Amino acid sequence: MPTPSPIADPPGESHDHAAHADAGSGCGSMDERDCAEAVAEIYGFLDRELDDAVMIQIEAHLRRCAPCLDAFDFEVELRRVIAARCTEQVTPQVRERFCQMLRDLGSGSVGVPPVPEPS
Amino acid sequence: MADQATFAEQVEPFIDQLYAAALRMTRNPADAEDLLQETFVRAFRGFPNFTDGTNLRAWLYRILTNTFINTYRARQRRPEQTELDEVEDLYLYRRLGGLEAATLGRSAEDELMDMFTETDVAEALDALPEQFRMAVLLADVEGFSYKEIAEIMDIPIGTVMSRLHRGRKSLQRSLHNFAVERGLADRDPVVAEP
Repeated sequence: MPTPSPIADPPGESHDHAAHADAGSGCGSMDERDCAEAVAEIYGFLDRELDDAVMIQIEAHLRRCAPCLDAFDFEVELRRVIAARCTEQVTPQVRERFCQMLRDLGSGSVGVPPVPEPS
Repeated sequence: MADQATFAEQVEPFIDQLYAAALRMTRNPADAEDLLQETFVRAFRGFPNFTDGTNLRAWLYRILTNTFINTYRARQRRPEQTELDEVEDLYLYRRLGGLEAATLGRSAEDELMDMFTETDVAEALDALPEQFRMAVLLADVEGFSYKEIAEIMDIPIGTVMSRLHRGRKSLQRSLHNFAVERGLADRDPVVAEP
Protein backbone atom coordinates (compact mmCIF):
# COMPACT_ATOMS: atom_id res chain seq x y z
CA MET A 1 0.00 0.00 0.00
CA PRO A 2 2.07 2.93 -1.24
CA THR A 3 1.99 6.00 0.93
CA PRO A 4 1.00 8.94 -1.25
CA SER A 5 3.21 11.97 -1.59
CA PRO A 6 2.76 14.24 1.43
CA ILE A 7 1.02 16.97 -0.54
CA ALA A 8 -0.59 17.14 -3.93
CA ASP A 9 1.26 20.13 -5.36
CA PRO A 10 4.83 21.21 -4.88
CA PRO A 11 5.36 24.38 -2.86
CA GLY A 12 4.80 27.58 -4.78
CA GLU A 13 7.25 29.75 -2.93
CA SER A 14 10.01 28.03 -1.08
CA HIS A 15 12.58 29.32 1.31
CA ASP A 16 16.07 28.31 2.20
CA HIS A 17 16.80 26.52 5.41
CA ALA A 18 20.27 28.00 5.48
CA ALA A 19 18.48 31.27 6.17
CA HIS A 20 16.90 29.66 9.22
CA ALA A 21 20.28 28.65 10.50
CA ASP A 22 21.63 32.17 9.98
CA ALA A 23 18.68 33.73 11.70
CA GLY A 24 18.56 31.15 14.43
CA SER A 25 20.54 32.79 17.17
CA GLY A 26 18.40 31.45 19.97
CA CYS A 27 15.16 33.32 19.55
CA GLY A 28 14.01 31.17 16.61
CA SER A 29 12.02 32.50 13.70
CA MET A 30 8.43 31.56 13.12
CA ASP A 31 9.42 29.27 10.25
CA GLU A 32 12.02 27.51 12.31
CA ARG A 33 9.41 26.68 14.88
CA ASP A 34 7.05 25.52 12.13
CA CYS A 35 9.74 23.22 10.75
CA ALA A 36 10.41 21.70 14.16
CA GLU A 37 6.69 21.19 14.74
CA ALA A 38 6.20 19.64 11.31
CA VAL A 39 9.13 17.25 11.74
CA ALA A 40 7.93 16.27 15.21
CA GLU A 41 4.61 15.19 13.67
CA ILE A 42 6.05 13.58 10.53
CA TYR A 43 4.86 10.05 11.30
CA GLY A 44 1.41 11.08 12.43
CA PHE A 45 1.11 13.18 9.28
CA LEU A 46 2.31 10.50 6.86
CA ASP A 47 0.13 7.94 8.64
CA ARG A 48 -2.83 10.34 8.25
CA GLU A 49 -3.54 9.99 11.96
CA LEU A 50 -3.53 13.64 13.08
CA ASP A 51 -6.52 15.87 13.71
CA ASP A 52 -7.73 17.56 10.53
CA ALA A 53 -6.64 20.98 11.77
CA VAL A 54 -3.07 19.79 12.36
CA MET A 55 -2.98 17.93 9.04
CA ILE A 56 -3.98 21.15 7.26
CA GLN A 57 -1.41 23.16 9.21
CA ILE A 58 1.43 20.82 8.30
CA GLU A 59 0.29 20.57 4.70
CA ALA A 60 0.32 24.36 4.51
CA HIS A 61 3.83 24.38 5.96
CA LEU A 62 5.03 21.82 3.40
CA ARG A 63 3.69 24.01 0.58
CA ARG A 64 5.86 26.88 1.77
CA CYS A 65 8.88 24.91 2.87
CA ALA A 66 10.78 22.96 0.22
CA PRO A 67 13.35 21.50 2.64
CA CYS A 68 10.66 20.02 4.88
CA LEU A 69 8.77 18.72 1.84
CA ASP A 70 11.98 17.09 0.66
CA ALA A 71 12.46 15.42 4.04
CA PHE A 72 8.84 14.23 4.13
CA ASP A 73 9.11 12.91 0.57
CA PHE A 74 12.24 11.01 1.52
CA GLU A 75 10.36 9.30 4.36
CA VAL A 76 7.54 8.37 2.00
CA GLU A 77 9.97 6.91 -0.52
CA LEU A 78 11.87 5.03 2.18
CA ARG A 79 8.61 3.58 3.40
CA ARG A 80 7.75 2.40 -0.11
CA VAL A 81 11.16 0.74 -0.39
CA ILE A 82 10.73 -1.06 2.94
CA ALA A 83 7.28 -2.35 1.96
CA ALA A 84 8.49 -3.32 -1.52
CA ARG A 85 11.36 -5.29 0.00
CA CYS A 86 9.00 -7.39 2.11
CA THR A 87 8.02 -9.80 -0.65
CA GLU A 88 7.40 -13.03 1.23
CA GLN A 89 5.05 -15.17 -0.83
CA VAL A 90 3.09 -18.32 -0.37
CA THR A 91 3.76 -21.18 -2.81
CA PRO A 92 0.76 -22.65 -4.68
CA GLN A 93 1.23 -25.93 -2.79
CA VAL A 94 1.17 -24.24 0.62
CA ARG A 95 -1.83 -22.12 -0.37
CA GLU A 96 -3.72 -25.22 -1.51
CA ARG A 97 -2.92 -26.99 1.75
CA PHE A 98 -4.34 -24.11 3.77
CA CYS A 99 -7.41 -23.86 1.50
CA GLN A 100 -8.02 -27.52 2.17
CA MET A 101 -7.48 -27.00 5.89
CA LEU A 102 -10.07 -24.20 5.96
CA ARG A 103 -12.58 -26.34 4.09
CA ASP A 104 -11.94 -29.27 6.47
CA LEU A 105 -12.42 -27.00 9.48
CA GLY A 106 -15.63 -25.59 8.00
CA SER A 107 -17.07 -28.98 7.15
CA GLY A 108 -16.38 -30.28 10.63
CA SER A 109 -14.10 -33.07 9.41
CA VAL A 110 -11.42 -31.79 11.77
CA GLY A 111 -12.45 -32.22 15.37
CA VAL A 112 -12.30 -28.63 16.55
CA PRO A 113 -15.32 -27.65 18.62
CA PRO A 114 -16.28 -24.01 18.92
CA VAL A 115 -15.53 -22.45 22.27
CA PRO A 116 -17.41 -19.58 23.97
CA GLU A 117 -14.50 -17.10 23.90
CA PRO A 118 -11.75 -16.68 21.29
CA SER A 119 -8.41 -17.92 22.57
CA MET B 1 -22.13 -13.65 15.35
CA ALA B 2 -20.47 -15.42 12.43
CA ASP B 3 -21.53 -18.79 11.12
CA GLN B 4 -18.77 -21.37 11.14
CA ALA B 5 -20.19 -22.78 7.89
CA THR B 6 -18.98 -19.63 6.11
CA PHE B 7 -15.55 -19.74 7.78
CA ALA B 8 -13.58 -21.20 4.85
CA GLU B 9 -15.19 -18.89 2.33
CA GLN B 10 -14.59 -15.77 4.41
CA VAL B 11 -11.03 -16.55 5.52
CA GLU B 12 -9.63 -17.97 2.28
CA PRO B 13 -8.94 -14.57 0.65
CA PHE B 14 -6.54 -13.80 3.53
CA ILE B 15 -4.36 -16.92 3.21
CA ASP B 16 -1.67 -15.25 1.11
CA GLN B 17 -1.19 -12.17 3.26
CA LEU B 18 -1.46 -14.08 6.53
CA TYR B 19 1.17 -16.57 5.38
CA ALA B 20 3.48 -13.76 4.28
CA ALA B 21 2.97 -12.05 7.63
CA ALA B 22 3.63 -15.33 9.47
CA LEU B 23 6.82 -15.78 7.48
CA ARG B 24 7.98 -12.27 8.32
CA MET B 25 7.26 -12.89 11.99
CA THR B 26 8.95 -16.30 12.23
CA ARG B 27 11.58 -15.87 9.48
CA ASN B 28 11.28 -19.56 8.72
CA PRO B 29 8.82 -21.40 6.41
CA ALA B 30 8.27 -24.40 8.70
CA ASP B 31 7.45 -22.19 11.69
CA ALA B 32 5.32 -19.93 9.49
CA GLU B 33 3.19 -22.89 8.40
CA ASP B 34 2.82 -24.13 11.98
CA LEU B 35 1.92 -20.63 13.11
CA LEU B 36 -0.70 -20.19 10.39
CA GLN B 37 -2.18 -23.62 11.07
CA GLU B 38 -2.52 -22.85 14.76
CA THR B 39 -3.97 -19.44 13.88
CA PHE B 40 -6.66 -20.98 11.68
CA VAL B 41 -7.62 -23.52 14.34
CA ARG B 42 -7.96 -20.75 16.92
CA ALA B 43 -9.81 -18.52 14.44
CA PHE B 44 -12.28 -21.28 13.64
CA ARG B 45 -12.95 -21.92 17.32
CA GLY B 46 -13.44 -18.22 17.97
CA PHE B 47 -15.42 -17.55 14.80
CA PRO B 48 -18.84 -17.66 16.49
CA ASN B 49 -17.61 -14.67 18.53
CA PHE B 50 -16.61 -12.71 15.45
CA THR B 51 -19.23 -10.15 14.48
CA ASP B 52 -20.05 -10.39 10.78
CA GLY B 53 -19.39 -7.18 8.92
CA THR B 54 -16.63 -6.01 11.26
CA ASN B 55 -12.95 -6.02 10.41
CA LEU B 56 -12.16 -9.68 9.66
CA ARG B 57 -8.64 -8.91 8.46
CA ALA B 58 -7.72 -7.17 11.74
CA TRP B 59 -9.42 -9.93 13.71
CA LEU B 60 -7.32 -12.58 11.94
CA TYR B 61 -4.11 -10.59 12.42
CA ARG B 62 -4.92 -10.27 16.09
CA ILE B 63 -5.11 -14.05 16.43
CA LEU B 64 -1.97 -14.48 14.31
CA THR B 65 -0.07 -11.93 16.38
CA ASN B 66 -1.19 -13.36 19.72
CA THR B 67 -0.41 -16.89 18.64
CA PHE B 68 3.03 -15.80 17.51
CA ILE B 69 3.76 -13.89 20.69
CA ASN B 70 2.51 -16.65 22.97
CA THR B 71 4.01 -19.60 21.15
CA TYR B 72 6.74 -18.89 18.67
CA ARG B 73 8.43 -15.98 20.31
CA ALA B 74 8.96 -18.07 23.41
CA ARG B 75 10.39 -20.83 21.24
CA GLN B 76 12.73 -18.49 19.42
CA ARG B 77 13.96 -17.10 22.73
CA ARG B 78 14.24 -13.57 21.47
CA PRO B 79 15.34 -11.33 24.27
CA GLU B 80 12.39 -9.35 25.54
CA GLN B 81 13.59 -5.80 25.19
CA THR B 82 11.14 -3.07 26.02
CA GLU B 83 13.26 0.02 25.46
CA LEU B 84 15.09 1.38 22.45
CA ASP B 85 17.73 4.08 22.32
CA GLU B 86 16.40 7.43 21.29
CA VAL B 87 17.34 8.06 17.66
CA GLU B 88 17.15 11.54 16.19
CA ASP B 89 14.32 12.52 13.84
CA LEU B 90 14.90 12.12 10.09
CA TYR B 91 17.92 9.94 10.84
CA LEU B 92 18.36 8.49 7.36
CA TYR B 93 17.30 11.65 5.53
CA ARG B 94 19.97 13.64 7.28
CA ARG B 95 22.56 11.12 6.10
CA LEU B 96 21.31 10.01 2.69
CA GLY B 97 18.84 12.73 1.78
CA GLY B 98 21.19 14.35 -0.74
CA LEU B 99 21.35 11.18 -2.81
CA GLU B 100 18.91 11.93 -5.56
CA ALA B 101 20.28 15.42 -5.99
CA ALA B 102 23.70 13.92 -6.71
CA THR B 103 22.36 11.58 -9.39
CA LEU B 104 20.37 13.48 -11.94
CA GLY B 105 16.97 12.09 -12.78
CA ARG B 106 16.86 9.43 -10.11
CA SER B 107 14.51 9.55 -7.16
CA ALA B 108 15.53 8.82 -3.60
CA GLU B 109 13.30 5.77 -3.96
CA ASP B 110 15.44 4.41 -6.84
CA GLU B 111 18.62 5.07 -4.89
CA LEU B 112 17.31 3.46 -1.72
CA MET B 113 15.99 0.49 -3.67
CA ASP B 114 19.49 -0.10 -5.06
CA MET B 115 21.09 0.39 -1.68
CA PHE B 116 18.91 -1.89 0.44
CA THR B 117 18.21 -5.50 -0.54
CA GLU B 118 15.42 -7.69 0.75
CA THR B 119 17.90 -9.24 3.15
CA ASP B 120 18.97 -5.84 4.48
CA VAL B 121 15.38 -4.83 5.20
CA ALA B 122 14.60 -8.21 6.78
CA GLU B 123 17.71 -8.01 8.98
CA ALA B 124 17.03 -4.43 10.00
CA LEU B 125 13.48 -5.42 10.97
CA ASP B 126 14.76 -8.48 12.81
CA ALA B 127 17.15 -6.34 14.80
CA LEU B 128 14.19 -4.54 16.37
CA PRO B 129 12.90 -5.77 19.71
CA GLU B 130 9.77 -7.82 19.12
CA GLN B 131 7.08 -5.36 20.13
CA PHE B 132 8.63 -2.59 18.02
CA ARG B 133 9.08 -4.95 15.07
CA MET B 134 5.44 -6.04 15.24
CA ALA B 135 4.19 -2.45 15.33
CA VAL B 136 6.34 -1.45 12.34
CA LEU B 137 5.32 -4.52 10.33
CA LEU B 138 1.63 -3.97 11.05
CA ALA B 139 1.80 -0.29 10.07
CA ASP B 140 4.33 -0.09 7.27
CA VAL B 141 3.99 -3.47 5.60
CA GLU B 142 0.40 -4.49 6.38
CA GLY B 143 -1.00 -0.97 6.31
CA PHE B 144 -3.06 -1.06 9.50
CA SER B 145 -4.18 2.13 11.23
CA TYR B 146 -3.08 3.03 14.78
CA LYS B 147 -6.50 2.01 16.07
CA GLU B 148 -6.32 -1.37 14.37
CA ILE B 149 -2.79 -1.98 15.64
CA ALA B 150 -3.92 -1.05 19.14
CA GLU B 151 -6.64 -3.70 18.89
CA ILE B 152 -4.40 -6.32 17.28
CA MET B 153 -1.64 -5.90 19.88
CA ASP B 154 -4.01 -5.06 22.72
CA ILE B 155 -2.14 -1.91 23.69
CA PRO B 156 -3.21 1.76 23.98
CA ILE B 157 -2.94 3.96 20.86
CA GLY B 158 -0.28 6.08 22.59
CA THR B 159 1.85 2.97 22.95
CA VAL B 160 1.33 2.14 19.28
CA MET B 161 2.59 5.60 18.36
CA SER B 162 5.65 5.46 20.57
CA ARG B 163 6.57 1.97 19.35
CA LEU B 164 6.17 3.07 15.75
CA HIS B 165 8.24 6.21 16.23
CA ARG B 166 11.06 4.48 18.01
CA GLY B 167 10.92 1.37 15.87
CA ARG B 168 11.02 3.28 12.59
CA LYS B 169 13.91 5.46 13.66
CA SER B 170 15.87 2.50 14.99
CA LEU B 171 15.22 0.71 11.68
CA GLN B 172 16.68 3.69 9.86
CA ARG B 173 19.81 3.53 11.96
CA SER B 174 20.23 -0.19 11.18
CA LEU B 175 19.79 0.45 7.48
CA HIS B 176 22.33 3.24 7.61
CA ASN B 177 24.80 0.92 9.31
CA PHE B 178 24.43 -1.58 6.46
CA ALA B 179 25.09 1.17 3.93
CA VAL B 180 28.17 2.29 5.86
CA GLU B 181 29.53 -1.25 6.20
CA ARG B 182 29.25 -1.67 2.46
CA GLY B 183 30.95 1.60 1.73
CA LEU B 184 27.78 3.10 0.25
CA ALA B 185 27.55 5.83 2.85
CA ASP B 186 29.89 7.69 5.14
CA ARG B 187 30.00 6.95 8.83
CA ASP B 188 28.07 9.90 10.14
CA PRO B 189 27.80 12.87 7.88
CA VAL B 190 24.77 15.09 7.96
CA VAL B 191 24.17 15.95 4.33
CA ALA B 192 20.64 17.29 4.36
CA GLU B 193 18.66 19.61 6.54
CA PRO B 194 16.17 19.92 8.20
